[in-house]
Amino acid sequence: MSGELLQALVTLLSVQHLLFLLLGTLLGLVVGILPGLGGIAGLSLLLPFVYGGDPTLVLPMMIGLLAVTNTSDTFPAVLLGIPGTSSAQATILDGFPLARRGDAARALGAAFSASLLGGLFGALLLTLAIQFARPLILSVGFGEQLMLVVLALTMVGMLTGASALKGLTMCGLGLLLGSIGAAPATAEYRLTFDTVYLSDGIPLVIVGLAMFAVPEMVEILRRRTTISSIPELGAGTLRGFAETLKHKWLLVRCSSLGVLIGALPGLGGSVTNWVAYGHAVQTSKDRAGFGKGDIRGVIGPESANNADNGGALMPTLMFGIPGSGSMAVFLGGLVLIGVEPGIGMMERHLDLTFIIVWSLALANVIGAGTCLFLARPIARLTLVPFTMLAPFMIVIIYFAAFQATRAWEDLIALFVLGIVATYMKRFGWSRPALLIGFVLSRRLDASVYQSIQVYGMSFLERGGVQVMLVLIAISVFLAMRMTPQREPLTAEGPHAPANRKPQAIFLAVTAACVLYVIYDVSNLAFLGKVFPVTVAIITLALLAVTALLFRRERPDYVFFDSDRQSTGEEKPLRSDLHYQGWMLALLAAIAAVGFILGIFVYITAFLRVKAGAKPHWAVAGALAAVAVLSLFGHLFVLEYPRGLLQHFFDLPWPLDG
Amino acid sequence: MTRLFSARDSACGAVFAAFAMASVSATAGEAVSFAGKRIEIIVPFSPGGGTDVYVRALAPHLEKHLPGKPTIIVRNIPGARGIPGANQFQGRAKPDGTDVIAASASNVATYVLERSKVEYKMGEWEPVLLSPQGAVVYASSALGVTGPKDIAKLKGKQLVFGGQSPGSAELRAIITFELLGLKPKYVWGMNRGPVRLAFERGEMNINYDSTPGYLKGAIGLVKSGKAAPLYSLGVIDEGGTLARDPNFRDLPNFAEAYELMHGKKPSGQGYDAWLSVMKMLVMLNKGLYLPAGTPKPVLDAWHTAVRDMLKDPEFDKTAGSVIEGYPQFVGAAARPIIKDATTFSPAVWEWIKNYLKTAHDVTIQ
Repeated sequence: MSGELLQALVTLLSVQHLLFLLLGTLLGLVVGILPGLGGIAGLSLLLPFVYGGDPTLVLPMMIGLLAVTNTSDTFPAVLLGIPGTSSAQATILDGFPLARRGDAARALGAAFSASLLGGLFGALLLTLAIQFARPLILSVGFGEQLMLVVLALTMVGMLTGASALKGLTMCGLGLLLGSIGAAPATAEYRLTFDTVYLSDGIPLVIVGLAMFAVPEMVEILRRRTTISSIPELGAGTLRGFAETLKHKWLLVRCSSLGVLIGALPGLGGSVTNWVAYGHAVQTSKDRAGFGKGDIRGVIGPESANNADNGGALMPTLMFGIPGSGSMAVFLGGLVLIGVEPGIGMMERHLDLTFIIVWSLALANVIGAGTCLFLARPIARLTLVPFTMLAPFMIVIIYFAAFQATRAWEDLIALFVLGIVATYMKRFGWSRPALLIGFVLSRRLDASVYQSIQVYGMSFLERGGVQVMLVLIAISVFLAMRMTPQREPLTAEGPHAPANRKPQAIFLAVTAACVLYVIYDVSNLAFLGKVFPVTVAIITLALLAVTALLFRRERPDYVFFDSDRQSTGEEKPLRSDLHYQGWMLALLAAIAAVGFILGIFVYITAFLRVKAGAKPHWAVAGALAAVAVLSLFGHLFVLEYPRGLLQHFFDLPWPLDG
Repeated sequence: MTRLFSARDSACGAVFAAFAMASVSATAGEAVSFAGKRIEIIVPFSPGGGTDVYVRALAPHLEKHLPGKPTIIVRNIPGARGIPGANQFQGRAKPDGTDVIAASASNVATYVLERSKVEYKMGEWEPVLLSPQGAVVYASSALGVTGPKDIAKLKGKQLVFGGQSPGSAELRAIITFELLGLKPKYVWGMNRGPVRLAFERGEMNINYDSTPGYLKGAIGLVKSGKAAPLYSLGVIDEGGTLARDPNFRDLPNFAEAYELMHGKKPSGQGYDAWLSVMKMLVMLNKGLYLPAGTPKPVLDAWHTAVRDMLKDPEFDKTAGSVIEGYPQFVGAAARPIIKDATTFSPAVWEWIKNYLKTAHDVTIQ
């Protein structure tokens, strides 16, 4: 066995093999950086070249790509507050505040070194697991899967923000948002308004972008001139690296969580980073800095999401069952080169299995190395006047949203949810809590139903379930003991009972939406409606208590208005509505003349009006964006939203979308 | 780009293409050529799925055999059981041979069972190639079965079956259970992969897989004695009757399994309904289609290319496993099967509606 392991390394270290690995890795870095594109888009691009190829060349290329999308997705997450892929969402919570403090290079240094070590840890465990993990994976039945989902859900306790009541309410709202689409038990449509678009539910990419990217951007536009509040980059990447090493045990724990969640059926990559973040908060003594730029909030999720790959490869290789969307494409690629994963993979293709392991390890080194090298220069983006960056970011956010299902509804969903998130941020309703609820909703619904269908209540008697119940109890206990870091209750502070009307309106609208859920699903079969109705009733109860507290006349944590937080020089220059209008303007431009022409007009106008750029520079900036996105569109066979113009006239490429 | 002078509007395009073709064949008698063109195959599902792999395995061979050796690119439009992808093909495809769709059993099922959301007219598309794909039903050895001969032992046993939903492609299997008199406990909301894993864990004990899924996954369980194959769904032969699956000649088809269970040949509305569903989901499992109104010379060029491809030993060597030895239907040969599979008789409709309502509490329009 160790002979074969070494033999695989020797094979991989030849020039030709390394070139393929490098090619895949670099492509993976590119698709990881671009929000909306990820492993699925990258692998689909490779598939035509994979066909009939030599597996020892093709596998390093595919693995190289998969291994590093979770490394480079940190760039947009930390620097711009936009998740590069859905596995980078939790990184934003502390990574972006670090960038805003001028610590972008340090945050990236810590993130990439954590990614590197987490990825290597994943590869190591995969090597060991090849011998032993099969029984472990087979021991996780429906009951254990349900408990895993519940355990992940308890992480909400760490992320409720200043008011636990409001945080739990948002978690409920997230669960309801996630129940849109076909019910797992009956396939009846819930809350779809009879549209095809909503029959699959709202894509996670869109909810992630709307919750984080949109409100952060609107806020920076309102308040600041650059992302970083200080005009130069603080401590460098090396310091970040050193901090990762200092928190080595956190790294090991989060990497183990990543491998475990990746390998076990039931959860997956988009959950891993949240569980790791929650764990990092749970196990830290001083929690004051979390959410405001604590480096541990970056190290935890970043090590976990790279370790996740090693875990996700286990069921893919051992059972031929993909653990994630990109693993499904990888599995398709394996079929095309005639490799059959599943039972007996280790006996049939032990050599290839080790090629995969080594490729995973090497790709992590190459990917993280490249990112570390580029971190400092790219971090200078945070020093650029934000009005110069903003139009490109808005375009990228819409671009990313459209890649979710390539329908116009994607753009509308992004805009609407983005507006909601802007007010959630302003009035202190936890966005991470909503996202966790959303991510876990379908799994919770399905696994409750499936466990009871298969076992009745007797699933609670299974040993694995009882062990998990203890862990859940510990997690809930830790959450209840935690006091979130919050600003003092003063009559001048953000928690004062002033300007209550807009906050009350937000609460009332939320309650109305929850009531509508109950109305909408009331005609469904019992199994189709039991989940949304239960969640809706609990959420309504939480909302009712919040409403009662709203009657108080003294400062309370249920009140929050971030506009009252601002100190003198940071006073918002414009209202929320001003920049929401600018978000809407791009939607209008695309609706009129299609995506490519629309972004040209939009970027030119924004740079001219908002950034005061000279006309020729504004046009040059817009043309550059058009060129890059057209090229990507052609290369990745993407599609862009069409406008009225394209409806009536046939335009040549690239103006046809 | 090739799109420069082509009309997007489909009616316009049909006229344009017909005119272009007519003039080509009239003046020079030249054959259709796709030289320098980019052919786009829409896959209305995610990359890596069955239909996607099917298309990507065929693509290089189609490139080789199509006149003018065009470049083929695959465009995935995933989501909502293939409806948006097929709708987009219906709305935008140019009938000049450069826009193709790879449709699967899911598209057929939604076309037949979910008319309200479907904008595409599958019955009007021009079939190029139809690739059937069978499936095998197997049970856990823990039930005391070792093969088809033990099928009667399943009666009265507590069976558990997992699947996506009652009104989906699972119909091809669950109607057979009903007709055999088996009453499994159904667990919905699961894809085939996780179901197989649950079967291996012992939480489910009766299952089925399509041929590639069976040959790659379940067969390992059979070899290690954890599972026993019971019957294949079979295929429809040239004479229109149900025959054994060419990949599983040792296994009875469903009609034979019925006889093993009940001691008589299957008949009646239930069996007719299953046959219709089976044609829809097995015989129309995967296929390539051109839009309606594609001119005959273009169709002929495609048919010839596909026939040449299927005869090519190179194809057999590298992509043969994708079509798994099933009979392939090219062009006109596919038409009667498609017609049969997409037009259910009122009696069949009635039976399926009633079955879904009484056995699964699901209402279809």
